[in-house]
Amino acid sequence: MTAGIPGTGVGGLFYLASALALPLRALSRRRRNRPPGSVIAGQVAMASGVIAAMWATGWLLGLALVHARPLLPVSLGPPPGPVWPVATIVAGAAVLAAVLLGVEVLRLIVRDGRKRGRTVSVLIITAVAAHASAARAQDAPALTVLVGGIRDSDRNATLRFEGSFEFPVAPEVRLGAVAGRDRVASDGVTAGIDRAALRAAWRPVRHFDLTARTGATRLDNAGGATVAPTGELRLRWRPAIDLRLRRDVVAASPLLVANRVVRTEGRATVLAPLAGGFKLRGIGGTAALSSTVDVNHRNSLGGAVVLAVAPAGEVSALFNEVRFSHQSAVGYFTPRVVQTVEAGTYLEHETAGAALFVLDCGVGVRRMAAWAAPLGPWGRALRLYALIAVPIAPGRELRLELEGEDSAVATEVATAAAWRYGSALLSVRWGVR
Amino acid sequence: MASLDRAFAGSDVTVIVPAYNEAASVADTIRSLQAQTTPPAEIIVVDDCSDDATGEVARALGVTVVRPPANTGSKAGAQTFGLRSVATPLTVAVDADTVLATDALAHLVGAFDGPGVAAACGSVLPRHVRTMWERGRYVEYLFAFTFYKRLQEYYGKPLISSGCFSMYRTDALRAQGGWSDRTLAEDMDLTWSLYQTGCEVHFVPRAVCYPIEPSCFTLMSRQLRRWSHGFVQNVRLHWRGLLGVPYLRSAVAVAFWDASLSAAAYLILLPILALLLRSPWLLLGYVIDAPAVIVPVLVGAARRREVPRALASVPAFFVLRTVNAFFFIRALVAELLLGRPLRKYEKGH
Repeated sequence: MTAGIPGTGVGGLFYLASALALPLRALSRRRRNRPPGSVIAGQVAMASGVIAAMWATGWLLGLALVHARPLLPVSLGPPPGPVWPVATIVAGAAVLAAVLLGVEVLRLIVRDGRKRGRTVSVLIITAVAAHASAARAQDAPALTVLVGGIRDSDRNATLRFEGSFEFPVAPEVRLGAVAGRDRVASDGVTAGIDRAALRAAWRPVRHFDLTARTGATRLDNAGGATVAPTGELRLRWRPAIDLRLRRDVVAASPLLVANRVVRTEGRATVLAPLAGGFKLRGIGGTAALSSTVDVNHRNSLGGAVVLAVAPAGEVSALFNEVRFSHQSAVGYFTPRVVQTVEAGTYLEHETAGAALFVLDCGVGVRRMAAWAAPLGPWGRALRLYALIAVPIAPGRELRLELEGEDSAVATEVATAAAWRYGSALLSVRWGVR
Repeated sequence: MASLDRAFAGSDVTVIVPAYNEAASVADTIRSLQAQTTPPAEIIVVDDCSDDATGEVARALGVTVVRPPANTGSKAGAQTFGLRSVATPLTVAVDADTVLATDALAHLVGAFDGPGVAAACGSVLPRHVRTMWERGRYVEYLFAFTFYKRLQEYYGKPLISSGCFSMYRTDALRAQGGWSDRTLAEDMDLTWSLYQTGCEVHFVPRAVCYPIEPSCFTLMSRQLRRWSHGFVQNVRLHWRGLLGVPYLRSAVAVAFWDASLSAAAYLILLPILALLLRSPWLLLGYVIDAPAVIVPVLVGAARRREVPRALASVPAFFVLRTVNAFFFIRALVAELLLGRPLRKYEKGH
């Protein structure tokens, strides 16, 4: 029997995606387990034919509707332009992603309590530190001291000091406090940023955690001092969902501090199985960048095909687009649109002695469109993140985080288009026994 | 095939043919089995207390005929009764209205090339393509077995080892207790149960069988009713276990979505929207994917040199698809909302 309705709905999209992923799947399999190349080529060609037929249908339909419009009464008129077919395809893809994601969430719920094989799939780069610490969850109270420096191609330099303390109040709940000071300087101009916040983390099951932070940041420069409330709420259901709401000060340069730039951002990352070992990662976010001068908006949308290549490694192919609502002169770079295509690799290795090494790097291209201008040429987009965590005693470890970026265009808030950036953070976590 | 036959040969195969009032068709089935390039060791016709001459027809052709003390009430029951008499490592189930291509058994035997392979199935095509319903089914099978099922095989998880013609490792079959009649789709139940025990199931496109498909609405409605209820029953029965089977869980979820909400949109939402928006163009949604459907259908038909027949049958596919959607919705409502499961097995032809 044939379950479902062949040819319609999300089933068609699912099998199209399965067919198009066949070559990649074949590459990831051992030679003897691969289907013959001609067989793969045949299925991919058939899927391509189906897509071409769908495209031709849309094109012909649009053409027919345009020509039929004058002949039809207004009430019987066709939907305007290409909105209908485009919306249908987008909605279909969204529904497919939702169905596949729903299955994975259901699987997590049903099977969460059972022991499963080691599968590490990291959602986003910013989750690395949390992931690493989660892998070394320790119940004892702990004190962490951090010192580090950040420097960029705009001659902005930041020196950071931070201390935090956390302690358990229940097996699944930890509370803590963090305080720190940044000193940012550029061409002889300096500004100070003082931060303080309370933190809470709730982790009822292994793959789910909810974290919250609330506090304030004091911005201090020659123009005086102000205080901005900050905070964060983050929900993670690994590896499928990562939802994050946050409000933070943007303080990469003295000019940004002087203009009191605050970012209020919502960000979502979802990971859905595609076919075989492939997964589809969707990343979307919207941010309001408020300052003493204006309020700008930045929207980003991206997707990546991810393939797990080892129990703790993955490769990915990503496309991302960022758009600003308008140009701004308060000290961060605001092109109309920025597009990025990137091949990324994430690798994680834990030694027998519990030392952890993480490497996350991306090589790609990026292009931008200035206001009232078309998209420009592609330029490089390189990034690297590395974490080394070495245990020095039970519950105590030394961590070094290194991060660098070299891009023709900056997508995160930055002060210039061509952007190079490097940071090194060294911290000691000291469990109190 | 020689290298593969070293593992299993026709002498390792017993064919079970469940039959209830199949006097008109069982002879063709038996003759096609006897004409195989790899003949089976034994053909067992399970005469499920037929009212007609099914048993006599089968005996006259020289095969083993067994008869349960009373009608088992389902194809699954008859097949499981026949399984008692099987003494070979491989067992084939063939419907009594189905004939096989002469090399079908040889191709399926070749699929059992590893100890983990528990079942294998082949392509299915209607034996007669004359009425609208047969034509609709013909296009549906061409589409499914040319595109969907091959992809499922490449990902190692054919959705169903078809009930009309499949080969099983006898030990694995017995470990499952044979074919269960707890759902109306015993083939789906068995396939999904095998996956959950870690067994492999394969689809062999070149092993082709030709069942008689429903030729009129009355027969088609019985078959669709049985299939749609069987699908819902199996999803309900196996959903938890399927979550541990990669790809299959996605394929089943997508199929269930299409069978339920997509079908509802297809049957209810589309006409309502067309009325509310006063835009008959929305009704194009019923056939808007016709070119996309036609591509795999033509590929499958071209391999068989049946392109004109396939093109002439395409309109019937859309009729069958709409009827199919109706039966799925009805089955969902009955099984999940009203709590009225269908238990009685009705022959579709």
